[in-house]
Amino acid sequence: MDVISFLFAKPVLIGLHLGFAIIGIDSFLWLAGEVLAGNPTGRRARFAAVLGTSGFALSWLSGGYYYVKFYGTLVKPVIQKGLAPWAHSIIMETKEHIFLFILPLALTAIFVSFLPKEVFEKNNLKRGFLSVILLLVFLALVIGLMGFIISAAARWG
Amino acid sequence: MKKEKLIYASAIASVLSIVFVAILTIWADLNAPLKDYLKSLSGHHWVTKSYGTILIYFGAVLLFLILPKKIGEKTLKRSLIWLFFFVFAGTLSVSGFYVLHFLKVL
Repeated sequence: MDVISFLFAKPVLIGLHLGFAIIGIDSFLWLAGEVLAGNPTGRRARFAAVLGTSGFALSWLSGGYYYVKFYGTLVKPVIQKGLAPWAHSIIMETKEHIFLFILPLALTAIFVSFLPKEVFEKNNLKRGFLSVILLLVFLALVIGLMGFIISAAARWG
Repeated sequence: MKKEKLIYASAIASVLSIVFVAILTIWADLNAPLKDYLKSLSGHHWVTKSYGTILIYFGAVLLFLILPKKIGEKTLKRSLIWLFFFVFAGTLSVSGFYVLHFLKVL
């Protein structure tokens, strides 16, 4: 098996989707910590914002490829015939669409983290920025929980 | 000032992307021909929505960067609050719609 075939294998794609999302979540939690510590636009904060956004972008690509290539033909029919068809009709439908909110939010956070500190403070952005970051993390964690429910419904019917 | 305007443009572009996804998602699930049309553009309705989100976001960022706008002391704070509100409202709209759709209320 070559590297490309390995990366595009179903379990590996799921692992990459989850792994990159965890990098995104952890990076934005780190960014929240930097904001609380009074360092919202320093070098570490910028690195965390860029790393987190990259994680979410790669999670979107790997999860999106899996969803388009495999989910509709292999997983969705199993869930729909099982005991929890709502896991597709409500949870998956919601997950795939609210995921699209993540990247614009993350990009906005990058731009805020690149402000000079005095401009950040002059505009009184601490609370608003922290709220956006924590909402982003919360949304990503909810999406992760949804992924667990969908996998459980497919695995155990 | 350029960085401040970029944040304003990005926050408003994000709001527009969220509104786009929420409206198109609900509309396409209530209107099969629209969903088929979205599918015909890229092979999958979700892929079309993904491309649409990217286009709307970057298109709106460029537009709001070009359009004249004075960034006051409260402009950025307000734009982040609007963004927070619309993420919350978009998430509730999409999830609420699918619950009602599953229960055949909508």
